Amino acid sequence: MVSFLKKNGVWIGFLLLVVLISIATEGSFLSARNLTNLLRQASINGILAAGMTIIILTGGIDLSIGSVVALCGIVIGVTQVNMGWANLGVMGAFASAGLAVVAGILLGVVNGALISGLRIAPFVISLGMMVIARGLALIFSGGASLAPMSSDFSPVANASLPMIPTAVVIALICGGFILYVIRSRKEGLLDALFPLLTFGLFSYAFLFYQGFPILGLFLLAVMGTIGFVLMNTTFGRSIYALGSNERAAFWAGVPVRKVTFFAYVIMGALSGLAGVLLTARLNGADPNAGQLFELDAIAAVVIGGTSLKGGQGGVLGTFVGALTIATLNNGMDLLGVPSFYQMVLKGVIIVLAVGLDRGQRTEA
Amino acid sequence: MPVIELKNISKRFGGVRALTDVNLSLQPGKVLALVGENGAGKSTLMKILSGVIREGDYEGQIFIDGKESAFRSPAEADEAGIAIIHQELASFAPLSVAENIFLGHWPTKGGFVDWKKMEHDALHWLKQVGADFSPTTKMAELSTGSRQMVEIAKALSRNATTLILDEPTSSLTPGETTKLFAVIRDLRSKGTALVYISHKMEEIYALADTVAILRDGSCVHQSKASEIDEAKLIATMVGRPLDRLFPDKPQGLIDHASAPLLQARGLKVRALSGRGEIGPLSFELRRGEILGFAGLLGSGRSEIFEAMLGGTARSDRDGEVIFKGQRFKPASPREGLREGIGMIGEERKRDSLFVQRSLEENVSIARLASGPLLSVLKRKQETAQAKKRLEELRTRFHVTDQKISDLSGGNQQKVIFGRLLEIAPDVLILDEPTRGVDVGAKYEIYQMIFELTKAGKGLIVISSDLPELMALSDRIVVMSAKRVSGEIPRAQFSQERVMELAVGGRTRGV
Repeated sequence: MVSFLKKNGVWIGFLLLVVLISIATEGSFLSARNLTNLLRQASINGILAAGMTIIILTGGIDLSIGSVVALCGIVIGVTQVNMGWANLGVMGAFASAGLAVVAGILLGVVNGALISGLRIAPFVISLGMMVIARGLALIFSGGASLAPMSSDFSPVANASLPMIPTAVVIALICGGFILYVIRSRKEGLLDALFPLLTFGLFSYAFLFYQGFPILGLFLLAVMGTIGFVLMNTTFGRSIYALGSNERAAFWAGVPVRKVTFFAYVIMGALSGLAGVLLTARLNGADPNAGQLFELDAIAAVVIGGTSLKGGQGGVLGTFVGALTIATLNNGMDLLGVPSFYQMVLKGVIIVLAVGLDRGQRTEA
Repeated sequence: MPVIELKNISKRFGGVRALTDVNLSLQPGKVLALVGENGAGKSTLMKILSGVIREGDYEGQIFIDGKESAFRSPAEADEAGIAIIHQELASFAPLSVAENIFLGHWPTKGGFVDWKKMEHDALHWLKQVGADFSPTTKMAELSTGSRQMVEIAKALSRNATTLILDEPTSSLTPGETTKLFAVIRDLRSKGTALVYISHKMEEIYALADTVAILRDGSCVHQSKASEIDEAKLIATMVGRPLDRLFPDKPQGLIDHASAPLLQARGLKVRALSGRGEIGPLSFELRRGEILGFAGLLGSGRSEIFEAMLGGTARSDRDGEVIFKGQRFKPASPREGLREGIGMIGEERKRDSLFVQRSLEENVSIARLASGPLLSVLKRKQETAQAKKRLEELRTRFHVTDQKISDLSGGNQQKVIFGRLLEIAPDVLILDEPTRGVDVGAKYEIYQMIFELTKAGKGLIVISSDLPELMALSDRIVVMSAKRVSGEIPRAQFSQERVMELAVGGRTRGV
């Protein structure tokens, strides 16, 4: 029982928060419409947090992602607005989005090369990149927001799947998850309870409102892929080994530099993707967008139980972490908490959540 | 009257009983040797005694000078006069010796630290332990042995009446060990109660008045040291008769017909400290052969092999190494692992363990990581293979996905061995293969090593445990002050000969 509570602490905390906010909002939090919105709000942070999970598992950190997201958005803005690709329809939209992701990858390459090659602390390199990317975003945009984009962007962020595909996707995910749990026999069925409960909650919302939001599909695809890579590939094993003991990893033949490098490249690519999605959601590119995104992503990872020292944790925890943060934001909005107070409260809850979690761990 | 008396001490970690009804009494002016295999409960018991495991987290009573006591923190145990010198010293390297001694208890004058008095008093306590260095020396400049003296001086300055030494000689030179023993005997004559935790029989019989043996959390024997002989002590500790420490070395395995597996000619590497070079080293290793390397700490015996395998930059290496007929100058250990040569480092926790990860991950990592950067695992097959490997090595474990930190030192070492065997190496370099491993598991590791030579592998064993090195090796190369000082064939093995060569080349003192 105790170990069950410890293992599922994040989920229990999240569901408690859901219950509390539901009571406080007299149920309006649980409306299908609000839950759909909630997942949309969680998606961009969730995608970034998935990449951040890899980085933190290696024992690193990436503070540049908020700025990189903004810069990638500006790449879209410049191509769409200034260069007129907005008139090229779907092709133009794809080209802009592709270029944004490429920009993200390039910045990731720079981060990764400097961190793995020069062996300078990730904190310092990514802090530098944070300022540089923000500066570039301001330079390329001339300091102003760029809008509007081609209308082909909007569905990515705002549309949902029709009902029948929604039902199929939900069935596939639930079935897949149950099958995984049964086959891996590592986690008992009991441990699958909370993920399924949470997923059930959202499924009901999607089925009774507009269907599965496209943004949520991006989130699940990214989380699923990264989860698979971490658990089931040699690259994933190398990530955990590196974060757990770099010297031992080196002597066990882990290509330490390459693994570190690619961790930051993946983070860059996901920042690019997040830039595309954010631009689509806002229907515009703002050089000041994405401020403090890195902190929300780090918070999601840490709330999800991944150790900042590296080597321990995973993407499922990060998923709950991202949902927890979105729930907090959403709930406080519904309750009309003024935004300045929201910040204070959020900070307190993050510290509490992580503190409680650590308290349990040291006892174990 | 005993200084400290432990009555019916029991401790559980979750479902595991770490200690069961242990009774122990410490007498002033006596040395109690506490022996037991790794995992027998020695460190748990000492954690209770030193306040690390708090009152209420264990069962039983502690009496100090006949009065029942309990500690809520290490500071309270410290107040009660109990000091512990840990295996891994927890000193503050950038600070001076005096600062380390008076850390947290600085002598003050008008609210400020009284530096003069601090240095003066530090000198007094250093003299008590026979140390000859100045209290203003930086801790970082001292050898392990000297740092240990500082720790003891610190304990004395706190009026410790009980001193616990946890494997204090594990990284000391013979000279330092002799010095430590003199200090221990001196403290004993002054009435300090001492607990001496060690695996080394010579030390136990040299120092101990009484012996207490822990096995599986229970105190299975307690008597005067003179009342139990070494064989019986080991048998009691291990729980079964163990008539010998080493298996017989299989003879005639060396393959002289074919070319050597590994050859070094004039290998020189830059020392990690950046000053000077190690070497030149030349040797040949044939199939079925075990080449031993001896030398004191700092003799360069580990560094030269780490560098040879790619632990340092290529440009820091000179000379020629030929592995299986090919020139061998790897950029990183990864290259060697792919070609069939690997090394197990001397400090398990620092060099090898992924502490938070599972047995399976720990055992398969070298094979997986030396393959392509990204490939999909067949999980079931991986688990089965890991399980098979661990069983083959007679590792004691429940499931392959339990954490490696759950295992005892000996079983952890087997997992690390398994990791190297997974890449099917031709040459294995083992640095201190049995450090922190209990007697029973040591024997099994020696058997494994001999099995490997039977399978035609070549082994290089680096060890500061001379009896071990002599039992295993076909030849012993001795290093001293970063040079090879001699080579001894098996027929001429003796501890004296090795030590002579190990100290012989040294020009500077310890």
